[in-house]
Amino acid sequence: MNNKIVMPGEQLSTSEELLPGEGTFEEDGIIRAARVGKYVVNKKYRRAEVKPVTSTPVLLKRGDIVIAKVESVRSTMVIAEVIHVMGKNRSISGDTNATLRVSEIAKGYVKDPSTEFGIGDFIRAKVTQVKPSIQLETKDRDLGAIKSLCTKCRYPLVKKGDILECKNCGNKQKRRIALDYGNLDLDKL
Amino acid sequence: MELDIKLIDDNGKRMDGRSAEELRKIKIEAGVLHRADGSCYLEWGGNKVFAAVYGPREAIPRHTQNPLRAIVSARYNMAAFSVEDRKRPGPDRRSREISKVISEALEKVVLTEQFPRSAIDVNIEVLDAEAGTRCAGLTAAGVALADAGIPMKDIPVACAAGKIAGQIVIDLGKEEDNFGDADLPVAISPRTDEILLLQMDGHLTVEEFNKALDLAIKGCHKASEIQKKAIMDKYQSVKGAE
Repeated sequence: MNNKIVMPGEQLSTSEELLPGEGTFEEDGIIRAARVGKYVVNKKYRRAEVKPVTSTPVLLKRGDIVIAKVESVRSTMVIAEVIHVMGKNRSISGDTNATLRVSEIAKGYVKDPSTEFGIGDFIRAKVTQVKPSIQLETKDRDLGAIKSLCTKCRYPLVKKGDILECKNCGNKQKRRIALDYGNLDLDKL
Repeated sequence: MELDIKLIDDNGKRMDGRSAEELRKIKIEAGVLHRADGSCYLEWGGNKVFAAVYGPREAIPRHTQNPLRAIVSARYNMAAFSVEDRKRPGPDRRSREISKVISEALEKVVLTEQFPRSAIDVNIEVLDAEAGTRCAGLTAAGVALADAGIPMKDIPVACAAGKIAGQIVIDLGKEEDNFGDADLPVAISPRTDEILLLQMDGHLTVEEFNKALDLAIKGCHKASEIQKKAIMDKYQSVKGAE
């Protein structure tokens, strides 16, 4: 395709010819660019698309690896707020309330989610569904808790073998831990 | 209000040497603030304006959310040092009105249906003011929105026209605004010429109004070219890198 940069509102094609794809919109039978970028025709799906040259709003997609904060732990699921998408440096646009079902926490059988995650934990998870609601899973080895707090004294827990230990009160707790527990600096996200 | 300053001299030139249909000098730079999702710095004559766009993000407080579309909340603010006498900082009656009309103008071009329950923040900071700051602010906001990659139908642009010394002229300067007869700021979507904002201060007859509107729209198109060039300049190099 020609490498020309198109501006919002510029005519790209018509509805008779192509379908409006990402970064475009249709108005009165004409497909126009909705953002600044390069015009590309997706020949496989006959779609007009604009590949952005600017940064774009972050929308969750299936398969995204995200960082989420656990808000509440119920008997069959964990409710978490997605706070960051890996590899993106903009905040998330749109809905951020996600759920993680018991069956999606680990590969083995989990009876009660409260043995795996606690309120205030930061977890790394994979998005499995976006609409109608955001669903997460933590089955992979690099997914799971990356920072958790002691349920007794709210001090950060430290990894000791397979288990987490509180440096303040000595409380030992089990979590579904990601491989790199404690290594990620959350302030740098 | 007859004053002894001459807004238009015998040669038909205005106080700053411009003709009736000449704009002040416009300089636009896109993507100047690295923490903002999109930003723009604009100089329009003596006006110096920054615009920064954040979002779309979840709208807070929640009652402001619209389940069907995003809300665009522009915040127009003048720095304390932007005018001759110190301006008392913070929002006032004037800046709140301007914030509202700019928000409504931008909402018309942004494809808000793509981001339900979200808010898009547009911060417009006027560092130096010399008449026509709302037009300068809106023009800067348009570039900042495009820089943030927010889907839009068009890049909005604004320009004013007015009446000084009985003559219709474009883009009033400071003295012309203070001692002129009327001021007519207009914002348009340059592709369709749809009017996004139209305000009037002073009195114009219907003929004068129509003439002023035509002139303002003409000015908008000129400013729009500069906007597009600014975005091109910023992203031409990105294109080469890919």
